[in-house]
Amino acid sequence: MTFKPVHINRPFGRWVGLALVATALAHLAAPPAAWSGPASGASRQAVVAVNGMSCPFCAYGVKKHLSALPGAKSVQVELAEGEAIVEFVPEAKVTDEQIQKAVRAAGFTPGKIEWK
Amino acid sequence: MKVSSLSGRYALLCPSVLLGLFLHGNALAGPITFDTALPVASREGVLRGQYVLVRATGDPTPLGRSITVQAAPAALAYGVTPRLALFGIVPYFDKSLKMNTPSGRIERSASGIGDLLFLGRYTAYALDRSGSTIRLAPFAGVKLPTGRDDVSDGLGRLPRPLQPGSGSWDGLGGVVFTWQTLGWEFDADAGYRKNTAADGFRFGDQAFTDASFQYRVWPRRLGAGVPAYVFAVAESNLFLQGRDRVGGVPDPDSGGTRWIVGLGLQYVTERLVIEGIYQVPAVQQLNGNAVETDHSLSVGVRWKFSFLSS
Repeated sequence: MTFKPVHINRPFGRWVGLALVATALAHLAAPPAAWSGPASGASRQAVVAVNGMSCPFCAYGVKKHLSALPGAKSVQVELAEGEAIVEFVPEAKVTDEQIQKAVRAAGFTPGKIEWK
Repeated sequence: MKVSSLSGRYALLCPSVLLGLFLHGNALAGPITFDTALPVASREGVLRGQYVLVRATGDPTPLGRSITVQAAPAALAYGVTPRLALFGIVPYFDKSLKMNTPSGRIERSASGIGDLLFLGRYTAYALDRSGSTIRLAPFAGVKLPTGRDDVSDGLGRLPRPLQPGSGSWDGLGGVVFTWQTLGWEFDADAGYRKNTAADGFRFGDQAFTDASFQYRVWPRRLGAGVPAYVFAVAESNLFLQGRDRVGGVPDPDSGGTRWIVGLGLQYVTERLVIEGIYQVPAVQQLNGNAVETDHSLSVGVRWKFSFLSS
């Protein structure tokens, strides 16, 4: 019984190696478990329930505190729905905890956060 | 007529009505004539300006006394934390008294910056749900004698209640309750004001309780975003004031009970509130020959700003 030596195509092997390194780097650079939002995609949008917000004069503080989050592009408050829609730049690294803290700083109680 | 007696007869009118109108008033959305428990976001401020006109001509004596007080209080609220808000309120007064004398009808008046009031309010309880909030917040404050209390005219030093300032350091404390929904808001407070003596004169202590109901009359249905509101407002202010003391002696013509009711309107946007209320006394049980209030009018604007950059 003879064994044929296995020859690895050199260019192919280089690509496999690069892929492995890239995968490892990607894992190292991956956001921690607390990071939220879609895994990929150009748009990151968080729909935040703001409990207690029930008049126009209260919405201003919610907008300002959510707008101050890192990477926040725009904030739209839907008073009747009791929620704020925050749009982030794609590379924004914001956590649910940061969003909840912003809502609390505005004087209200954060509810469910949905990422779209 | 002795000055001490004269001063006593206006003591109830000037401090209680005016202080009740705005000196424990607020800068937030909510009631027009007193505080609310609604939050001030941290690092956020609210500036409020008001114009208040009070007329009192109900004099039971032949003196025919007529009092007009115009005030322009300015208030600033700041959110130190989401639960702790600080308030500073300083009024500008223009007070005038007309009365009959043997030599004809005379007028005495004074104007100037009044006493500065600092208040702190802490949200002790908050129950937030979607589209509604219930809050309870105790508050306490101190009034500094920043206004002049030695204004004189040709007849001598003006009676203390006609002075822009009281000359005394006074304390104020109470608790305010708010229940707000998307369609209406109810606020109520109760408190006590402890006055101290200055130059041998002390305004009577004051207990107060207020209530306000605001109902959204426009828009009838909430649309998308943050629509502006128009609230119809009904308010009630009850004051019980003790007798003033002049040289340690109670003035029989001071103190009493006054219950004021009013109707108003508020236009509320995200950053701006424009409002007005007209008030009349429902009950006035005043001691001695104090002048009864006819009515009062208050109009104002509130503007919200933030120290956050976004």
